[in-house]
Amino acid sequence: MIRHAAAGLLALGLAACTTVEDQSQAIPDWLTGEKWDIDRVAALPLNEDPYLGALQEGYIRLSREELAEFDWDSGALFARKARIAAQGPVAPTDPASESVDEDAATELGEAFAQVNGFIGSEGAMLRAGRQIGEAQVFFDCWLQEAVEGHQLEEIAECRDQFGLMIQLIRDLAALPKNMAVVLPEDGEIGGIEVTQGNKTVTLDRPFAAAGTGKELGDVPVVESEIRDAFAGALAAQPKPPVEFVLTFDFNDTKITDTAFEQILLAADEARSRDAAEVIVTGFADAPGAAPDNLAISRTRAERVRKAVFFELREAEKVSISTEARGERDLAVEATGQEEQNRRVIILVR
Amino acid sequence: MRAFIGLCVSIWIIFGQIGAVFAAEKIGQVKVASGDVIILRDGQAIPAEAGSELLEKDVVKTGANSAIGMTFTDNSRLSLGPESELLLENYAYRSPGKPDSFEARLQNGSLTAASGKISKSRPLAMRVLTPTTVLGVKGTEFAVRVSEEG
Repeated sequence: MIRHAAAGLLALGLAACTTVEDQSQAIPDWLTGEKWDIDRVAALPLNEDPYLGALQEGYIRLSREELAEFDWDSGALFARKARIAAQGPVAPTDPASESVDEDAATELGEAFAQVNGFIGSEGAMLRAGRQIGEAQVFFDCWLQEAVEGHQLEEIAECRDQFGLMIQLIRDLAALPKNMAVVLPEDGEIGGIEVTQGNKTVTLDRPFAAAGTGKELGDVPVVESEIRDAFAGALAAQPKPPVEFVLTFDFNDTKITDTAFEQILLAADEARSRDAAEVIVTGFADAPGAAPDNLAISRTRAERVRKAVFFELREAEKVSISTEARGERDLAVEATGQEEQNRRVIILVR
Repeated sequence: MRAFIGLCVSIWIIFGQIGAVFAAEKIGQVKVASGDVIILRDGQAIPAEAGSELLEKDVVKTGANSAIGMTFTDNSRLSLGPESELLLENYAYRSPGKPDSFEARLQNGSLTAASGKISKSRPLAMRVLTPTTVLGVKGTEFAVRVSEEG
C-alpha cells in the first residue's frame, strides 16, 4: 500500500507538470498517474448502451470511493473497468481468481453465476440492461470488500444492494406473463392494436411486443424466448390453407389435362393433412346471362368435386364441399371472355 | 360405381345442409389435438380430436402438456398451448345480415393466431379479448398469453 501511495503521489506530481495526453503512449500509466486519474475517466462520454452506461457510472463511483480511502489498487481497478465500459463490455471479476474465505467464496460464486446468467440472456439484457449493470457493480464492490475482509459493514452494504438489485431484475427481466406479440409472416405486416382502458399500443413489426398485465406498455423481446414461451401453441398450429386453381375453355366444363394435374396436387395436399377439408368453388367469366354463368360454374365445381372425391376415395376424415359463384368475384376485371375467370378453386385446409 | 358414390355424397351434402338449418353452424374444425383437450358445449365436455367440429360459443380447454390447433371457415387458424382456455365468443363469416366478425376470448394460457378473411373484410373485424385487454388484428400472425397470476 505504501509503495502504491508513493507511486500515486509521484504520479500526481508528474501529471501536474506534464501534458499527459502527449506522453501517455510512451510513459506507463502508473507513472503518469493516468491509472488513478478518475476525473479523466469520468470525462469520457457515457456509453449509450444501458448496461455499459450503468457499469461506467458505477465503476467511476466505486473508484472515487476507493481512492478517497487511499485504496489505490481498487481505485485503479475500478477506474480501468470504467474506462473499458466506456468502449465496450467488461466482465465482473471471477471470485475463483481471488482469495476470500470459504463461506464467502460459495456465496460470491453463486452471485457471480447469477450476474453472468443475466448477462448471457439477450432478453434480460434488453429489458433490464441498466439494472444488470448496477448489479454487476454491486457484485464487484462486494467481492472487493470481501477480499480485503476487514470492512464488514461495507461488505454487508454491497451484498445487500446486490441482493435488492437481483430481486428487481428478476421482475424486470422475465418475459411478461401477460403479453401480446407480432409473429413474423410472409408479405406485409399489419400488426395488432392492443387496448387497455383508454390506452392503445400498436405493434407493427415482427416480434414487437407489449406487456398486458397491470400496465400496458412496449416490451423488448427476442425471437428465441418467444419461440420457447409459445412452443406448445406454435407446434399445434395447423398448416396454412393452400389453393389450387384450374381454368376451363370458354363455355365448357370439361376438365383439361392441365387442370387435372391441379386436381392430383390438391388430392396429395389433402392426403398430407389430418382431417382435411376440401372446398371446391366454381366461377364463370362475364359474357352471358348471370343464371347461365351460375349454372356453368356449378357444373364446373361439381365435375371437379367428383374427380377430387375419386382421388381421395381411400382417404380418411376428408370432407369435400362445393360452392358456385357464377360471374361474381372475377379473378380479372374483364367484361369479355377471360380464361382466368373461367375457373375452379380447390381450397385445401 | 362412381355415379353411385357421387349420389351418396350428394345426398349427404343435401342432408348436411338441411341439418345446418336446425343446428348451430359449424365455424371451424380441430386439426391438431394432443394431450387432454376438451370442447365445452352446452354444459357438456366433448373430447377434442382432429376433425371435431367447432361452433360459436364453444369453450376450448387444454390440460398440462396439451395443445390444440384449429382452422375456421374464413381460413383463420388458432392454436392453444398447455393449460389454456379460449371462448369462441362471436363468429360471423358471410352470414346474411351480419358483418363479418370474429371475437375469441383467451381466459388463460397461450394462443397463437393467423388471421383469415374476416380480418381483411374491415379494420379490426377480428379481435382477441383477454381479461385485461382487447387486441384488434390488423395483420396476420400474432401470439398472446394470459396468466391468472398477473
